[in-house]
Amino acid sequence: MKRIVTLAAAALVLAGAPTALAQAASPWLHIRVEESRGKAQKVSVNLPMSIVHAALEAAPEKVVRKGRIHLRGHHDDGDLDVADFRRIWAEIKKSGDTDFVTVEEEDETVSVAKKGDRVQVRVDKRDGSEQVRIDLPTTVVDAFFSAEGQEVDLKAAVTEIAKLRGDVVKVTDKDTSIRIWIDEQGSQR
Amino acid sequence: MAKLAALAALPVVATLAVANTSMLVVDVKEGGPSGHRIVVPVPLFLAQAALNLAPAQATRTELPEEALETLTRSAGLLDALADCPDAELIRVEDGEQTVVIEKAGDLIKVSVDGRREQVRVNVPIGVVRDFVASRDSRELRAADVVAALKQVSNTDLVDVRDGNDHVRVYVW
Repeated sequence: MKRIVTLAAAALVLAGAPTALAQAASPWLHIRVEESRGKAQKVSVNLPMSIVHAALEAAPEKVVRKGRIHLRGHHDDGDLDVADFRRIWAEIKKSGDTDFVTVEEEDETVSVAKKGDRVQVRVDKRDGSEQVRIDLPTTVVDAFFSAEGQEVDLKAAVTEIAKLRGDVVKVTDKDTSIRIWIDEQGSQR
Repeated sequence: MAKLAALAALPVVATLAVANTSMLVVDVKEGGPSGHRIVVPVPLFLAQAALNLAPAQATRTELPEEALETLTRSAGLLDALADCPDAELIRVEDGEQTVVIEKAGDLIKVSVDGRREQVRVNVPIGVVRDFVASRDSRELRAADVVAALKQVSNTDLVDVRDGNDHVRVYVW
């Protein structure tokens, strides 16, 4: 009898294992925004990437069409449009690892670099009051620009983001901190 | 004799039907020493029947094309929500008010806590999912909403406390 119970329990555990594994592997998008000034607002978002995907699908067609967003460019006004950004990105990719923008001012340093398969944006105030860290795999940017013309492919970018683990964006200044990251856990405080 | 028996059985059948059906209960409690309390239990089948008989213009409305499109498109989002493990999805605190949206079982629970007021809204995902799936026209019928609620039991739908006033709407 004891053996039957043990076998039944083992069967149940095995039957549940794939589900548990699938759940453990499903990525979650986390966003934290905290303000220390005024009303000290705090925003916390924890969403499975499956919901982010579904929300994109559910968005009205005039906003997102087939996962793509149409951005209006003002090329005639001298602004860069999506095609320009796509071309610039293609050039950056060809150039290998490089610091392609570095601005050093009296009170802060801004740098945009490609390091390996990552695009890194760094902003540092000299007095330490502001710090921006953005780390995006090149595959996300590739996916974002994979549409044509004035369109960007948000759905493809989200699919790539879902493959990430760890911090994607981290911004801290004296009043606000923003953190966006991906992991495999549900809500976190 | 058979007719008499049938007539005599009617109240029993009616009682059994009511006993076996879900009730939508609206419970309003006014604060203060002379505050009133009003409890309105409505059997869902009765509410559905009444709404079906009521004038169409009072209980039906035509959805705009955009709303219908959003409703149709939201089916996938509802599926994803149903499959999502229980978790706190969104929390917003601003020092005066806290808003939390969480998934718990088949419910999306929305809670708002302020200094004076407290609001709880529970949305049964299954009900909304079935309701969206059963949409076959642009017409939104109140009777359909009530019909969809029939699959819910012992669930608080809305609970609002404002000072000493308390309003509760639940399915029992």
